[in-house]
Amino acid sequence: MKAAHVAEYYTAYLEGSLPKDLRQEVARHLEACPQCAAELEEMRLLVTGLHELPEMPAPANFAAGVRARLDARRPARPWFLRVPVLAGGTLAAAALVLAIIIAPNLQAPRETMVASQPKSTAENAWKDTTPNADTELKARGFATKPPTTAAAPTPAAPVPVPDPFAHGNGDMRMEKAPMTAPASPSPADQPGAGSKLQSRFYLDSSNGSAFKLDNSKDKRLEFDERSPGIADPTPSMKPESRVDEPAPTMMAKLPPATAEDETPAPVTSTAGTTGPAGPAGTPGATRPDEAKSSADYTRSSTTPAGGTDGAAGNLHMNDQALTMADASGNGGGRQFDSDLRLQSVESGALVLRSAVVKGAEATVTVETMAPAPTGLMLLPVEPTRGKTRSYPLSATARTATFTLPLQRGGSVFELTVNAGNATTQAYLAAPDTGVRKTSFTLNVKKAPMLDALRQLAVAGKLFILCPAPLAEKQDITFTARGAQPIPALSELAFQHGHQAVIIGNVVILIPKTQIP
Amino acid sequence: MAMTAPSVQTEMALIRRVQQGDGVAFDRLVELYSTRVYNLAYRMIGNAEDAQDAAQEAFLRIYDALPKFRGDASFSTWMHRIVINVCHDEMTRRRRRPPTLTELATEDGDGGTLAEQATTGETAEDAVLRQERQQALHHAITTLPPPFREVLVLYDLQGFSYDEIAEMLRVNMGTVKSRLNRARNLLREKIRGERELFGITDSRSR
Repeated sequence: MKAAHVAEYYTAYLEGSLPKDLRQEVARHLEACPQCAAELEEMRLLVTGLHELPEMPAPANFAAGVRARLDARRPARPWFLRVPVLAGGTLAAAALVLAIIIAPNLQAPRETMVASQPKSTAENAWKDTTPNADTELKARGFATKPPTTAAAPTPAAPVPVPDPFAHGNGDMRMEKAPMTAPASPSPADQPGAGSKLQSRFYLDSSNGSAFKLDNSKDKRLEFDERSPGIADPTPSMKPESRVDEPAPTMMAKLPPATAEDETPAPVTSTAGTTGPAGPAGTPGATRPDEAKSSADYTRSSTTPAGGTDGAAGNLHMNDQALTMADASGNGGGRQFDSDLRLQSVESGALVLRSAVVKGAEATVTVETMAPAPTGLMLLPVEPTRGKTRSYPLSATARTATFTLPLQRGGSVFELTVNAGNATTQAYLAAPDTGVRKTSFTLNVKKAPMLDALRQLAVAGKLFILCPAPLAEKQDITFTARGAQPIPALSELAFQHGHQAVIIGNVVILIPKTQIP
Repeated sequence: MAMTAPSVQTEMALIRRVQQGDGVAFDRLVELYSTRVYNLAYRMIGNAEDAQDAAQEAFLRIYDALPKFRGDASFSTWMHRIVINVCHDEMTRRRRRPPTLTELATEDGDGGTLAEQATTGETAEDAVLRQERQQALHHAITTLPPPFREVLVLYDLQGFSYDEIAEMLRVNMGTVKSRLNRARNLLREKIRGERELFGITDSRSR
């Protein structure tokens, strides 16, 4: 039996329900096979853990909700049956009225945002992200996206929306236009000038295949999004090819079954909606049909730009980031199945240039775009506040590289750029120590902190590094300790076979473990 | 996961009253079983909002089906079969669309804040570990294939017996047993990355 192992009998063995002969046989095997013995012990601990799972209280309004749903679907009942459930019914009715009052406020921006977006499997997630986040941000004084009504795309001018999930055979590239824009929207319509917050994330699992994009249409790895205030596509793009091509949204990458549900939108139509055509390159400037390799992409992304510091600067930095990542190559000393490197380019004051997670350390390079930076301060804030580390910066030395110790439960760092009297802050959430590969737990002790993180994310002020690489079919949890796990994120990503999740500017990256 | 159930007499009395059109009795039945039904839905579906929706939908179906309930099976078995079916429908629906941010934002952890839970003399660190363990387990359960998930939830979390589950799922008891063992083995694999949470030392040679 040693060769066959005895995993199929673990439960019955633990319960003592095996026939005597078989039980003795299993016992003999367990004595001789440390693997099965260890697995049996694992199962015993697992069952203990299962029995420990607490009973969740039903939501407070649960029974009233049942009653309200029951009442809502049938004709009025006799008075003698109505009376006892009045309270529940009234509550439900009040809730409905409230919902109707509140809903237009929440819905309005959502509708304008998505009015002509192509249908996407992630549409709901996207729709729900935007208005709520904006509302929360406004409430807390964050600059949020200006009203999109004026520049709202017409039905004839759909705005491609990125599916927040991406996957491909090789590395992964995500381009994401910001959810935030300058507080003053009018000059933002100028190409470049409006690109205050543009993020690009490059993910590659560096097992030798970095920057090799799959050029087959259904596996294209890029997408873009433009919104009012973001510069127009560069004139160097081929309009005809863009018309014929499906919009470079995530739908092009979804599995065929899902993609059927989606309506490709021609990208060309976005040009007229986002402002006057300009010469500046934009995040969307990469031609899908040219994204065949990193070299191609680099060339297309270096399209000369007329903008000053906006898109052109972004693209230039993109190239640097790509080059740098490429040069760093396959470093040794990996503790994981693959290293993960993340480059983000952002035209804001602080740019996450690269991050390499290895074992219990992350090496991070940031660059500031502030006009006259004087220094960068790095302050651990979660799980505990630590000592501030300072890095000198100047107009000619804009980058700082530091090593972050990754702690159990994840870590959050506050990055502050000093530039004269001005400061800019961003936050960097780093994964767990890497020992645990199946979840990414941020050590956020309270739910409000998680909200704050979300808002920072929406404001483009949060960088989230990735967890350790995951094994096939493993999942990832983004958890605020003591607060709210978000298993649905990972479940969704997993269902679609994706390795990345973007909600707002939160990027949860799941590196591929098997590179073809 | 301790569950309290009403006595059979109470239960049957309520059922008869509901069958006679007594809405109050049905409300009482909902109250009696809401925690149990909600927990089954929560562990099956994984997130609080969908679980609430599914559990409420299950009660609507129970209400519709109650006139036909003859008492051949136990009410609990009969009712949980309906809940399981609703959960299957909900999971199918969820597979067709991604979660909304609202869903993502309203996920519940197991048992609320640490301050609320750390009342049994355990250290704060222990409380954190326990909560992480529970979250890891909950999440891992929701990634099990449904046929395994339901058996594991019904047996290990809801405390049903093999034959009750067999009746509920209309499969034979051997199938229930083998699915349970398979579910636990799958779960064991899934939480391998969290082994230190469970006090598992990595001494095994693999």
